Amino acid sequence: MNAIMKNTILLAALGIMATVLWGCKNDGFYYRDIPRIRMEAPYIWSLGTDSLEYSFLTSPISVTQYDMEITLHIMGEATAYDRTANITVDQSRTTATAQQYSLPTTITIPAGKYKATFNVTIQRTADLQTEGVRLGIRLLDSDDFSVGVIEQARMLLKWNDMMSRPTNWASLQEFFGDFSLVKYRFMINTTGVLEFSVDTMTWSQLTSYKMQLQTALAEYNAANPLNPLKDENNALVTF
Amino acid sequence: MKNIAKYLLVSVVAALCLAACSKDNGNYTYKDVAEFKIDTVGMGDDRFVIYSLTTATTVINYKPTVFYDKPLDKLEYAWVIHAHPYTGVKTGNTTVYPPADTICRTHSLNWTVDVKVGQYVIAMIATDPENGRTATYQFYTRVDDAGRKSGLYVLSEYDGKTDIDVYGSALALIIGGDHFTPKFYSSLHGGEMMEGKPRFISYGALSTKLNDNCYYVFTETDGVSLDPAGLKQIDRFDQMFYVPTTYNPQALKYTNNCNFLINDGKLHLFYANKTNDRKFSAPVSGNYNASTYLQAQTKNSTSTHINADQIIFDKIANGFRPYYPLGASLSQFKPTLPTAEIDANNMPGTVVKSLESNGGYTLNVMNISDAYWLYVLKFYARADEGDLSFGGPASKISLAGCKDIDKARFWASSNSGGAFFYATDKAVYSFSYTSGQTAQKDIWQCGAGEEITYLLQLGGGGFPTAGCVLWIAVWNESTKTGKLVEFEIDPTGGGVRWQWGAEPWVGASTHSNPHITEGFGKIKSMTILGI
Repeated sequence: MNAIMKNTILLAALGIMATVLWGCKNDGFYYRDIPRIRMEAPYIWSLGTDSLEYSFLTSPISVTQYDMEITLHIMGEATAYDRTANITVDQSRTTATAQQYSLPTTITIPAGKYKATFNVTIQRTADLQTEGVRLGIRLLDSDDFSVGVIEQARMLLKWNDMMSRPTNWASLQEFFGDFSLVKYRFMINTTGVLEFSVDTMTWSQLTSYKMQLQTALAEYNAANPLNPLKDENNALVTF
Repeated sequence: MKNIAKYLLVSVVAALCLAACSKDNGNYTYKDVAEFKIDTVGMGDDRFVIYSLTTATTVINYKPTVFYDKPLDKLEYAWVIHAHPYTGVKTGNTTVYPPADTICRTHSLNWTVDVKVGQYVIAMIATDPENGRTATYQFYTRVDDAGRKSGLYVLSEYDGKTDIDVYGSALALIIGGDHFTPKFYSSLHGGEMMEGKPRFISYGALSTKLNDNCYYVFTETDGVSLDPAGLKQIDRFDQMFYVPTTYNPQALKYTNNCNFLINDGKLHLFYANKTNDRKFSAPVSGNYNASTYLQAQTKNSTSTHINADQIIFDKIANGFRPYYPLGASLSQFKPTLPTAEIDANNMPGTVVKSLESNGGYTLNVMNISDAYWLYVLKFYARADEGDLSFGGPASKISLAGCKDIDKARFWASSNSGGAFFYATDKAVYSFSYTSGQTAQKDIWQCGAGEEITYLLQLGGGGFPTAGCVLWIAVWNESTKTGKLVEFEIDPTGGGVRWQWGAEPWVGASTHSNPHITEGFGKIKSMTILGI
């Protein structure tokens, strides 16, 4: 190959490289599709999944409902006017009764905003002590938004008020006697303590709880002379 | 001829042997050696100087008597100290005992305490350098933190506030000889007293493992626990409980490894020999309203005897109830037999005052239809078989002959004898249920302007004066001064006597009986740590 041919090839290669490099200049990525909407639940309950779980057991007996805050995120640009998103109950995934929850059917995304929050209020009903319930919700297309990411277009809320025997009950038996669910719930409701442990509590503190519980049980039974506290096996609760 | 010679030879040898067996007095000159000893007899109160020391204290002019027939300034002296118990240290294959420290080389001890807190033995060694003879004398001593003072802790009111005075008496060996520090608490706190007038002072234990004691002090406004070393605050009242508790402390006693507190008619407790947070429990469960009575001796080691850690008086039941060890609720004694002299579960009439006495007996001053009686019960060292009377008809003793018992406001007793002491505002009396007396004994009468504000009898334990000291707190409202009147008394008969105070016993020979100390505030309560 003679020198000219070589130079020509070299120049062409440089030109192609320059063209490629120029073409690689950073160009902003913009969502250019129609406005869409997706939803997220609080991480602490959902851990990044599309379902969340909540137990009323951790709440004092005075707490009868809980507001689960859910966030709607838009896909696309904010606008200078308010827009509306639609929510509905997915009955195929719902076992909760209408008395056990409440939620809005439309949510307003304010002008200039990229997100909005709304509450699903879940109720603490007595039957939750024996069985949990679930509520499925999903986004619907609205005049302002189409449903967005499929995985974030629906959510499953599960809640209960159930308890189980603590794994450390054997070490607590010295203080509180035989285990029963009714007794354990009475302990939690009376003391406000969710977890009893010989590893974190002194003998004196556990004995003090026992005294407190004996006194509370006596007061309960005195107030309910015809219906003293009995456990799930119909045995009188004692400490 | 041969035989004669033989016989003569034998005789001579025999005679020589006999002579050799006679006593050989040698050729020395002998004389009796003089006694060489060290003693502290006759030193009186000085003997207490060395038994309880605090760090940085300077001990001076402590000079035991040396008996010797040479001039004492010819002797060599050494004072040494070592830890007690004296233990060796394994070094290689040998156990080596650390050498004692020499702290002084004069007859009179002159030393600034520079050892750590603990138990020690101090020995004095006198040596005759001419012949090497020595005499020694040793003392057991305890070194405490500076700011820790052994004594009778007196809770006094000064101008509406509360302070702690500390008092010691040669009559009470346990509190280390005669000493008096008024306003001891405020002296350790920049002159600041505690807010509010005093209610009462007592002591407790936070941990038996650490031998960790404390004082509990309650005023009309707040309560605190105090470290005996320097009386530093440990906890306030609101920090002393696992559950919020209304402020109304009424009595506190430490016994059976447990701190028992009566607050607002309820019993609270925490065991010092169990893991704890220095906090009293929620009220011991049960329907009751406790009086201020708490008992020290409640159980022994006999398995068939009552095994209560505490006995309280329930004002609702008007009877006594046991608290059994480590329990969460108050219990009941067995139903009283019809043949029982006294129904401990339901006392007849009004229990004016309950007192512990004579080794675990419970004396109850009763008002039954305006007649005063002494009903004696016994819970200690006996089984519960339905009759907790002390002993048949003798369990009930008339107090009709006791002057002003209906006006009594202050009481004292101890487990050292059957006598109890009671006081009106103006006079102190005693009565003993074991003496057969039918009337009171007169102990003390106030002077003009004076009033009695508290009584305390030295508790049991400790030879020879356990139970033998009565302290009467007296206040003069016009002069705004308080004093402590101290008697040696007979804990069995209740009368005044002077027995142990005299030499050669405790050596309180400088005291009169009573022995009066001025300079207190208005005394409202007293306690001795551990008694």
